Parts: sequence; structure tokens; C-alpha cells
Amino acid sequence: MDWTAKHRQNSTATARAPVKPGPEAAAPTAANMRVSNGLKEFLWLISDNGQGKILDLGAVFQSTVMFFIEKGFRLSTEDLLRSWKEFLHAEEESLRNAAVGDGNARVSQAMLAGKFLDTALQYPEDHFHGVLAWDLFDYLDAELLPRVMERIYTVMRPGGAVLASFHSRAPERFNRYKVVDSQTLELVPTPTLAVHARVFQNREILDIFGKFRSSKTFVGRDQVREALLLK
Amino acid sequence: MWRRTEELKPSSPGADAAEPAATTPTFDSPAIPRADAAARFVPAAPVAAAFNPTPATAPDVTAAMNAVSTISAGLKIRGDISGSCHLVIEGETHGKIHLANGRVTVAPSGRVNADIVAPEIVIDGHVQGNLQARDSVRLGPASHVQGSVLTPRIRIEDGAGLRGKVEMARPGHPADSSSGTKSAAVPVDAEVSSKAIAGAPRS
Repeated sequence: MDWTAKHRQNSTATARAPVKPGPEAAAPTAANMRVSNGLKEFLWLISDNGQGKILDLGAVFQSTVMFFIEKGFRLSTEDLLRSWKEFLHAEEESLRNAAVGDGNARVSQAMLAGKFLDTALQYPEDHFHGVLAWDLFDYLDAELLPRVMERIYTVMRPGGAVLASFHSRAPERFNRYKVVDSQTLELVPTPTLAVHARVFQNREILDIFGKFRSSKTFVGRDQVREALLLK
Repeated sequence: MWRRTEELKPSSPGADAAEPAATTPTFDSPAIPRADAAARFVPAAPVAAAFNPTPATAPDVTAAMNAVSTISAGLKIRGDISGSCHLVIEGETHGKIHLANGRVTVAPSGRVNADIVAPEIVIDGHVQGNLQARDSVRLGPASHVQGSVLTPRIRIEDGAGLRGKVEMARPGHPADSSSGTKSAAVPVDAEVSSKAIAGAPRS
């Protein structure tokens, strides 16, 4: 197979240069690259954990997977926004199919959030050394956000770090994030998975991570605020 | 291995009886029965061509290596599946899939609710179960996998969905050994590659 041969040729160089996803993939341009000071510090914080476990809560990308694996980490991925959207879609379908007058047909946002977390973010306690959450928390429903924060706190090890991003103004488009190198991200424009729920001020960001013991934020030129928090 | 035995298989039982293996001119030792010879000789493709009356052409060899079984769309199978050929799943399967050789392909319409163990796994549909590949895993742009992936090589197309863990190691060799993954991954990659060249059927 061509792709395996290509990967073998590139395997030793993967740590320095990301593996391109395929010949048809568009080459990244400067416009969709983003310098991430948060990622640099995140890597520094978790670098003591050889074979550390990382949870990426965004879309899975070849370059991100290879980046962390080449650095010796073990990566788990769970695209939480996508799962949430699929869950809501399935719930809508079941409501539509429910018989008229069925008392169970009325569900609140809190019930939906609780039901979603019965199957999402199912990991052992104190499991992950690091969690990546770009463009996630400011897209979550107000009922879901605190529950997700609580679950993330639970599955992280003491001393573990969360790297999250928040928009300082409503974003023009929805992006997913690929790790290119230790301080560069590639923004991948994607059909909108969720509506941007709200803009968080710095104080509010610290509040939603209230249980974490330490925090640091970075604001980029693109008005995206990165927050780095330690459990 | 599987290709060699096919080539040694007589065209009919009668032909086998009429022409004892001992007299087969291409085997050096006349005392070796054909079945034993099949077990003892481990010819690669060029040797296989030597005991065919007419040399196998490249398309013949390729066709033999590319035996594909398909579970068509609309078909639902419950139970384990095992074998040594390529398998394409366009329908739905509930049960562990274990191929000693060959490639498992889950087509865009395919759904698998079980673990898949095979040298090569290609996912374009939905899988709820773990993927364990000796050689490689490819997740296509419309794929959706819920489960862990254990493989020495992985290819993830943009748009793929994966909910689970990715471990880059040869199955049977724990990925969380005390040595760093980086040092473990490179030799594993090289070792599996050389195996693939030596014996595994490739398309």
C-alpha cells in the first residue's frame, strides 16, 4: 500500500515534520496556522510524565496523533462536540417517534446533559495527565458545561493539565485544531457542529475551572484566549 | 502459505490418484508425498511458478492473492468470523472478526459491532469495537470508530471519527512498556514492514 510505505519513509521524521493526511489535502497556509503559547507550556508541564496519557476532546487528526505518540504519550480521543450533536440528533429522532401523549417525551436540558454523560467521557478516575479542549467549553450548553467540567476534573490525575481555548468575540467560522508542532496549530474550517454559546470573560473562565489549583491564560492576536489549568 | 497450497491442489481427485505425487517432476525427492511436500516446501512466488506446467503470469498470481469475501449490504451476520482472505463488509456484523492474513475493509455502508483483528484494517463505515492490526489501520474520512486502536502504523483521514485510545505498538507487545514509546515504535515499525514484504499478501 502506498500510504504505509509513505509512512515508513516518514516515520523517523515525524517528530520534526507532521505527516500530511493525504495527497488530496490542501497545504496549510499561514492564514490558518496559529501560534499556541499554551500548547508549548502544556507540553512543558506534562513532559515529566513519560508515557503520560492525553485526552483530546476535539476531532482526531493524523498529525495530532503522531505528534503525541512520537513524544511518548498515549493518546485517547473523544470528539465531544460531535458526540453531543449526534446524541441530540438521536434524542430528537426518538422524541419524534414517541407516541403522542407519552409522558416520557418531555425532557429538560438538564436531563439531556445527564443522559449524555452516561455514555460520554467514561474513563477511570485520575487517569489522564493532560486534556486538550480547543473550542469546546464556549460551545457547550449551560446545563452541560458544569457537568463536563466536573467529569474532566475527575478523570484527571492530580498535577494534570488542561489546555482549553475560548473566543473573546463570537467566531466567524467553526474550526477544528490540528497540532503541527509544539507551538503551532493548524485551524481546519469545518461545517458548524455547534453554535457558539457565549463569550467568557477571563474571570468567568477561572470560575468554571474553580476546582483547579492553578491557571494561566494567553490571548493571541486572533483574540482567542488559551487557558492552562492544573489540577 | 495460503497461495502455495492452492497451487499444489490437484485439479480433481482423480487426477491426484492417477498421477502420484512421487512422480511429480518438479519435486526433487520422489519419496515425499504431495501433501507432505506441501507442508515441507515453503516456496515464495518464484518457486511456485517452477512446479506449474505453465508459468503463472503476474495477473494469475495477483488474482490468487486477492481472494475477497464480501458481506453485502443488507446482509446481517451474528457470530465470529475467521479466515485468511480479504474481507469486505458492506452489511452488518455482530461478532469478532479475526483474519490471520488479508485485509478487513468496512465499507461506508458497513457496520461492525465487535472487535476486529487482522493484519490490515481499513474503515470507511461504522465500528463499535477494538481494532487490532499487525500491520496497519486506516480510518477513512467517513469512518466512525468507537473503541481502541492498536497497530504499528495508522493513517487517519481528515473527517474520521474516533472515540477511543490509539496505541502504536505491535499487538502482543504492550504499548506501555517501561521504555519510551518513541524507542519502541521505530523497531516495531521496521520489523512489521519486513514481515509484510516476506509473506503477507498485499494488494
